[in-house]
Amino acid sequence: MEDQRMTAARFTGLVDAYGGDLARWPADSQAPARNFLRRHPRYARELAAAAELDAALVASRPPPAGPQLAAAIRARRAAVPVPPPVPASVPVLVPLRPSPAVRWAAVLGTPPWAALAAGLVAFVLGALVGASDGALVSVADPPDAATWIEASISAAAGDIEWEVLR
Amino acid sequence: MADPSDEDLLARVAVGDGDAFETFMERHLSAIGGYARRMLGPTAADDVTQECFLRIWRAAAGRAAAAPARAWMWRIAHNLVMDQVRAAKPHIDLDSVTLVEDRPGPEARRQSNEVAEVLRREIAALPARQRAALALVHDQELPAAEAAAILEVSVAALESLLARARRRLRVVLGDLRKDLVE
Repeated sequence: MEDQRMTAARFTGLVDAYGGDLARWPADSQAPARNFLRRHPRYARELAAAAELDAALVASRPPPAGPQLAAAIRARRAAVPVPPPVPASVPVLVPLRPSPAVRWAAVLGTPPWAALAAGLVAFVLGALVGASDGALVSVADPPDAATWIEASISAAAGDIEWEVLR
Repeated sequence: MADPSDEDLLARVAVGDGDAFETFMERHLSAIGGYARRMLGPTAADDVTQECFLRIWRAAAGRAAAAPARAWMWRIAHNLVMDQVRAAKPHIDLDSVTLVEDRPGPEARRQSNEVAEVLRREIAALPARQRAALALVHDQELPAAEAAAILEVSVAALESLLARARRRLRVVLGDLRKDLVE
């Protein structure tokens, strides 16, 4: 079954790409390749030829960086301010006073629970927008925690006023 | 106690833990530095390696939690390397590339370290994507799927890059061996 998936062309292609050590081939190709070799031992020559290049590649690896590189990174890192913490969860928010929506509802006769529910929905949507902004931010520009909170609050602030507890 | 995972370390780096950064850097400096050196040569590589780890320090807080730590690190390194390759294209590698006609003569190539040096120069002369594939799979021994993801290609495309690079290098190596025998 496995042999049927390993053709001579596929075997040669894998040798060309990954070299002469079957252990370095993709895991799902190794057993089919061994079975193929048992049936077609002449292809072992291809592995041997590729192994010669493998050895030369290892010998040609650039020398490792010295300890001075790590020291240079440490020195530069020490000069960089500590990254701002990002809140692990949605910040704790406490309403200060009834929102304008609630106060208007009282004036107009709308049930207060309806206004509160609308405010809650707006807050959740705002928090989601703020959270996804944080997740999608480029690695080159890490999000600033204050900006993240500000975005969440501003998205929700249309209906209710909040105080951030830090 | 088990070593902390890369994910754990980066979570701590994200809140400014310098010890976690140190551990993370020591764990990966050799691989990132080796990759950059294969791609750029030692001087530019060390600058890029430094920048890569500083970028990790600065950006860990913004890493999407779903992004695997090692893949995230390699993407930063690869992007920095490729930026450097593109920026320096007109003159990059000229120090390290030797044209075929300029290769040392057979006598000088009898030492195996010189064979390695010629091969190093031939690798430096490969197209950047082939060189990157070779560096990730053969130098850093990353699984094919991981290397393909870093290069943003399919595994089949990665194999094509590797095969083209290796075929070229086999020709070079064959010529060298012939010269050494003569």
